Amino acid sequence: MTMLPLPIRDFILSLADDTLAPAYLLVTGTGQLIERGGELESYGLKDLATNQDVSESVPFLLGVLPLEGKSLFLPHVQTKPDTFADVYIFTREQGTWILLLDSTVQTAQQQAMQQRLYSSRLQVNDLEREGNALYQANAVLEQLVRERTVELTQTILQLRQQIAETERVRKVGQES
Amino acid sequence: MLGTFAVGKTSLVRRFVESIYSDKYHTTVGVKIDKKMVPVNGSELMLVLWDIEGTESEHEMRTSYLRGAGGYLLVADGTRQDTLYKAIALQERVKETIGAVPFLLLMNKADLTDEWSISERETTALHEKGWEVIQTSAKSGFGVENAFHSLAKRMAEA
Repeated sequence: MTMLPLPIRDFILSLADDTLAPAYLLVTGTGQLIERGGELESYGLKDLATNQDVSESVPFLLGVLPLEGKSLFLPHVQTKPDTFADVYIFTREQGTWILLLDSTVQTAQQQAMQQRLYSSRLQVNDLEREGNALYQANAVLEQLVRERTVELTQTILQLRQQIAETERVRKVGQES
Repeated sequence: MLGTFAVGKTSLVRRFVESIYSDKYHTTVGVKIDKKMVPVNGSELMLVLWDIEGTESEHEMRTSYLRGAGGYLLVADGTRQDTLYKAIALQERVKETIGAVPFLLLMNKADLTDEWSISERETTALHEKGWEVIQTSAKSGFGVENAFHSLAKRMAEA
């Protein structure tokens, strides 16, 4: 960023302001609010008082503070119905900063793509399951056909033997 | 709430928190956070529920969402055998990331047991490993309260 001319940096900052609704909290290592600002209300965050434990009012910070390591990124956090934020948490000498940038549009785009992908996967699963059921039903049917064929073959043999025997008895009767 | 996609994590949370259910599948992107007070051993415990997006494999799971978790529910769909294997793989990944914290395995979609492809033998093997396995149905509500309350109790006792 330092290599960029001032007008470009200003433009980027202005763009961020217009499209990302930046909001921030500055807290102590243990989560007491020092300072706040930006578009907090657009994320449903209001009535935050200095020195209060922010995790009482900001559920996604519960368990996260004190921050282990230097930074943490939580993408696509739903902060209120239909509002998502990318949340960046990082430590500097002033304390721990929590930066929220609006990601509602990107979340909706990703949701639409993911919905199509996973719905397709579920359809494939259903087709596989139905295919397996058909395959098994077919195997059972083939087995039934084999068994019935054996039975019929045996019946035909028995009938032929009976006919032959009847014929033999008839011939013996004629000769006598 | 952890598990691969479309196992019913969001539906279980909605059933537990709001007592509602919808048949329509809506994939979750990112994380949705809910809260509910749960009575445990005579006092009230606030459960903060992170309904984390399901991924196709454990490697795609974003581990930053696990930071600070006191416990978790692994969810599998009884009608899809692979979801159990993915839940087992996820459990390994979670254990590597945040260590051993209380968890339960929920075998969801208990209203469709005639379509289940996960055998009793497989869940018995997990019981023998010390896993608590609970059958749930977000659709009917069967086992849902018990699942969250059991987890809360385990977390309180940990």
